[in-house]
Amino acid sequence: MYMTRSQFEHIAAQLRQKVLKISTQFFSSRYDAEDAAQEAMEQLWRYCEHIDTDRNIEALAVRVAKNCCVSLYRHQQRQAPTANIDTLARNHQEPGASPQQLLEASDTQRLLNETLDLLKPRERQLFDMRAVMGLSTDEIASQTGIPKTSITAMVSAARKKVFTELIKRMKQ
Amino acid sequence: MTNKDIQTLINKFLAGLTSPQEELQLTQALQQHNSLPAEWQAINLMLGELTQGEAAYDTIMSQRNSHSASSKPSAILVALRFISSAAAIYLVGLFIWLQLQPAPKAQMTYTPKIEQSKPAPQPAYCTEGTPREILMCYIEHRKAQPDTYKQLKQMNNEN
Repeated sequence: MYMTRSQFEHIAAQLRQKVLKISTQFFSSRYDAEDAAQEAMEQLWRYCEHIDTDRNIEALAVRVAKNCCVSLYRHQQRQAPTANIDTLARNHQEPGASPQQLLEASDTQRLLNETLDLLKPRERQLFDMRAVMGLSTDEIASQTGIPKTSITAMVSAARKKVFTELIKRMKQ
Repeated sequence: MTNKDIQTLINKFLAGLTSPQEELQLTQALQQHNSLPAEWQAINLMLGELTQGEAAYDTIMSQRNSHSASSKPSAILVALRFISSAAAIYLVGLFIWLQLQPAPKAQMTYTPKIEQSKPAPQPAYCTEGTPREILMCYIEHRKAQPDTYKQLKQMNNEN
């Protein structure tokens, strides 16, 4: 059973506090932390109708918040590749991605998508549930009704298939 | 995490047996490598965006924490700073206290008292009674304080 929008709205304030705490720990600027928290809440809002009600929504919110923080941070690094006063003041500068690296990242993402398209629908579903949604085997079993041993076998088969295909394409 | 540990986790991942926590550890380990072999790059791609973002967050936070921990002064340095500060405050206080004390008089000189010669004290004893009693009393006193009488006698001789 999936969560509804009204259910999400009911816990949104509590989730926002959690998400804001994560982003405040990451960013020294209050505005950046607010931006990251807002982005995380927006993503959760869009995704909430796909979240199982049994799932630990707070854990998911923390993961999404961390992702949003890292995305915003990398975006800022790309916007200001040279060190400026703000980034030096933050004292945690990470080398920004060059255009070549961005192109490579785009290529590898396309490669992965093409490889995932080769999977059977059921394999793709289970692969996504593990990799994209970050669900554990127990959670997948409770959502799909498939026995855990079967899930493990199917996820393993899907991963090996993707791995083999990726290696083949990367070496071409 | 060693390369052997990473490979063990990769094998476990491909077998579908890793927990989300182990996948997070694997992602962190792969992100710390600068140049990954093709097989590990493929695994890194498969680990999922959520896990990669979470691992990157944790890595950045741990780097910051280690950086801030290394920039913290050691306990000995803190203690030395505290002691030197306390000593400086004490010295300043002492200086101010000395300034507040009244200055000694500059014209005060040592002038020893010149004792004026006084007449020798007359003995207040052996003044009553018969002459014999007075004489006996005097002799007894002389026996009791021979040095004093010796000095008195010497002074009389000098005079």
